[in-house]
Amino acid sequence: MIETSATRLLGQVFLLLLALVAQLVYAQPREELLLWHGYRGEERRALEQLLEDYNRNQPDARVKALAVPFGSFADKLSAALPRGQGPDLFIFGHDRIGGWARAGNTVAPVDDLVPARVLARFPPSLVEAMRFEGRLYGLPFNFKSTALIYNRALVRHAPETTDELLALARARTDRRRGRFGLAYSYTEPFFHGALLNSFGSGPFDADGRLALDSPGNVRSLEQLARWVREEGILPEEPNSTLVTNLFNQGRAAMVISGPWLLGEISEGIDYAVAPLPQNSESGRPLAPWVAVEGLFLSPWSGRQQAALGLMNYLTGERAALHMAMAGGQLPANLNAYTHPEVARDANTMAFRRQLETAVPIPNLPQMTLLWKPLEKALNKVVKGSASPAGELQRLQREIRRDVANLQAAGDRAGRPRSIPAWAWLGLALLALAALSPALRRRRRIAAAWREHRTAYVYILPAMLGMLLLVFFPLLYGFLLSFTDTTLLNENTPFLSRWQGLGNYASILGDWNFWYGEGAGRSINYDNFYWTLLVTICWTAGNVVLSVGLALVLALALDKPILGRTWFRLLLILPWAIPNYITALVWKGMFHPQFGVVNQALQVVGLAPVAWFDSVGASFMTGLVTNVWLSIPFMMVVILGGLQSIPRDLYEAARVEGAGRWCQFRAITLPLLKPVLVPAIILSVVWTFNMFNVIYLVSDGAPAGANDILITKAFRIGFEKYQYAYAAAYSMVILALLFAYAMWQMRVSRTLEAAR
Amino acid sequence: MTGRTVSSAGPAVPRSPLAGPVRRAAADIFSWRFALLLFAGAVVVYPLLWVVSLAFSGQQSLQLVQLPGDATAWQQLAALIPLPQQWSLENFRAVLTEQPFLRWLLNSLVVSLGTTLVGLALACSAAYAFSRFSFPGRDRGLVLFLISQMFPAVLMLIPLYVIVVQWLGLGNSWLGLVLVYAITALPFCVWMLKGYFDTLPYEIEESALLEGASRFTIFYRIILPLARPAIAVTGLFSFMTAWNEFILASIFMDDEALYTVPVGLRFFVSDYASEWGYFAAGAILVSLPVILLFLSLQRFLVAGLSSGAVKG
Repeated sequence: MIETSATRLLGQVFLLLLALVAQLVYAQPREELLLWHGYRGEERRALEQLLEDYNRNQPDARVKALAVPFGSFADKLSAALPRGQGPDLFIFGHDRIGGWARAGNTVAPVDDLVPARVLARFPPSLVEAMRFEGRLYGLPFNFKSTALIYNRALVRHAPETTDELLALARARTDRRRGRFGLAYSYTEPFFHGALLNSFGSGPFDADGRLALDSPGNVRSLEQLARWVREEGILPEEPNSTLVTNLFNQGRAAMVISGPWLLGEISEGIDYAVAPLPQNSESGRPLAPWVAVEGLFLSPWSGRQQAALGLMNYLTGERAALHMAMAGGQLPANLNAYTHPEVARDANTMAFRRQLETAVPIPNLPQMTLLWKPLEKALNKVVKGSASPAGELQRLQREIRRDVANLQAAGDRAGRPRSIPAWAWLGLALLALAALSPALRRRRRIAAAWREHRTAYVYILPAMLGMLLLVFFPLLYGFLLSFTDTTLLNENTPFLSRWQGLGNYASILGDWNFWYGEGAGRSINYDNFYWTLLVTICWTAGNVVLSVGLALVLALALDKPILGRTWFRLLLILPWAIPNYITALVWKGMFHPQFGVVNQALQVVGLAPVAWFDSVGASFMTGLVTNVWLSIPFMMVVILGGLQSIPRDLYEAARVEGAGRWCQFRAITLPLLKPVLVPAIILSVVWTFNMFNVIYLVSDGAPAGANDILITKAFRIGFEKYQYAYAAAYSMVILALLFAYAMWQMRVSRTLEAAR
Repeated sequence: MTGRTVSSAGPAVPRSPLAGPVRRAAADIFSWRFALLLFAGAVVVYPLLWVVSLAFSGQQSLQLVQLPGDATAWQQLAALIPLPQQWSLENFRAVLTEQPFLRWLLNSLVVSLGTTLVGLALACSAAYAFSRFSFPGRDRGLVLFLISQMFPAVLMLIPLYVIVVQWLGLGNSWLGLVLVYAITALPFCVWMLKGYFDTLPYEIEESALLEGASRFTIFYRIILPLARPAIAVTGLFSFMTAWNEFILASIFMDDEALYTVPVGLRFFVSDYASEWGYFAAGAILVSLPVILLFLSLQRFLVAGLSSGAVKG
């Protein structure tokens, strides 16, 4: 009888939860104008002051701002906007306009809504940056470009040409003492833009067609390779943190960076900003890319006029002045620069002058496909593992294929817009087919339910949760994998994207194991089977090491020892601290020039290792980091498991004369198994899908050779924007892991039976 | 616990009350276990020292290591130990005052504790059924739990958004986050607890059943207390699942006052410039509650069956 009361209790708890859910299910009416932005620090304060001021004067159109961290802003927008949710207005970089406009439902064109007098506030190049296929999407708010920032103690006058720059840099470089004439993140395409554009070509030709292997682009890569490899004036493996560091310690005489660096320069450094010099090899000025932060209007906004009023206010002269003076921003409204207080600031004016030669990042959807592959290519070229011309030709072929994939999906617009009747019929038939075994066995199911009701009731809440929050998303992914969904046709009706098994065929039928011919032949690291091999090695290596080491540590901690509590606490710390920062610390420790690992190797008289240049070494960096990160968890699990082993068993064994090893084999390991086996299965699954460590530490270096399946799926989904292909990739991952889990369970069951 | 070990080692040298513990400590220090733990501790701590020294440096980026060329090997090694040039609490002050960090910390606590409660409630009951009953679909059910961990989380983002925000209307509420996190942590918890329940002797339950106790009483009064070590581990795991999650929290929440602390931490990182000093200070603050939680759970990890109810 008490049994039924227990089930009733569980049922009541569940109902309570449901009621809670239901209570929250009503949309609150919204009066305010919502603005999402990614600003922080002083720029954020400046913006908020402006909004406060606006709210004071416009009581009927209150604005509410939401700051979103940079790392999730794009995801948040693309989750909310196409579904009719999200803000009325948002501030974002202009380079995604093309993708948004093509996909639809994300951003509203404003050319009919904005009067010409407002547009006259901005320089034509910045307005042009906001245009895509003839329509205007949003207003420019601020812009960011790079310029030359130099240490005045080391460089008297800013160089006028790259020849001067080189001569200066050579004089200031002393690699043995870690001093460099010039430092910038030269492997990032955004920074390489300055060299690239100075040859006049850029990634696209005049008609917007991809032209990566144009002679000008090849020359820009050759020039960079010379700077890095022959002149040696640049540090290895640069990133923005390293560049800031070098400049702050007076180890870098000049850096190429943007206004964001100014806030981080140490007080002791006397610096100045100048526009980038003229490229002596092309006779044109270095032309950095400029990113325009635009004010965009949501197509779903019910308060368009109020939103436009705010856009007008924020781009006005007063607001622009405030953003420049209080926020340290470079406003797109050029009138701000005529104000005496702004005009007196030589640094701001240098960035303003740089705008004359700067080139807005192309806002074509193809551009977003370019960043990562181009970065990979730049890395290869500066490390000498590829020639500029050959690499750019390869890249041109690769990107053209990606673009074709993206557009092929977008072009098939002739398909049915709504779901035809036969599809419903098919669906109904499918559902019937799925249900029929259940219907046929309904007697047995009903009997099983009656007989084992207690068991089912215990499991039901968990299963319902799983059904809703795991299996629905899974079904979505499953269905998506049979389509050709990409960024460009994401918002078209589902059926018009259906393509069957095509994605699976192209993943599993990927037999291109090699690049090139004859002696120049190398492994094709993009190949699915190579990635699978790396993933298996990665998983096996990690699980064996982390379980083994965790077991040793847990055993060492199981019996009392001096400072046991402290050791236990110490050893779980890597789990407690967010792994985002510790993974990056490990990456820093493996830096070839300034990393501790190489410094320590040198202290003991060994040669430094270029950690990210070879497949094996780069694999090691990820392995070490991940083992370090996963030991604590494993150790805690095993410590918990060790507690279930009755102590008297050991005493009995000792009486029988069993040694330590014998006790471990005969008692500890078998009795730990019920805890260890699920932990191992799960840790295999997690390591197989361990995205963060690979992404943050080696980032697949060199050239994607160390990508595992999950990072590959991510790159396909979020760097190539082929969502359906990524979903199919994920389904393959799921199938592989499922097969593994079934095998593992069968093995442990047969072992159990054999005993 | 310490008291017992001391007294058991004591009788050999009864001269001074201190001699026992001292000898014991000396024996510990020279054991291989201690050496191993010391070494492991050093390896674990070294990268964390970088985080700590960055947090206390008052600056946003670390001093670069550059070996003094003409120093002795010993000096060179000393140069590898990360210590800030001057100690400062500036980063902590900025993190705590420039943003509603404590508020976010509190939000995270609510969400994480909610996740732990919901997750444990669901997991304990399910795991108990999987461990103690045999019913049709038991094995398949267990495998179903596993599947959820096999699909890459990044690709679940959009469907989860649709379900939680659009269907359930739980956008911008902690309940939505709690549900998602609890379900995310569920597979591990169920498997872990089931494994642990399997190790508990069935005889106790049988005798309790014979005495007329209901299943629920047995579950609640006998099994759960016995399984404390496993519950501590799974509870910690559920807590951590919610504690460090960033992307869903920032996508579901549309109000800065409702952000959780990992979202707040990510404000310090962007594509252009990142304030790593603030991030490090914030990361240390974020890990403090976890450490406290672990400290309070420790006694469950050491006091299991050996001192538990079975013997009594």
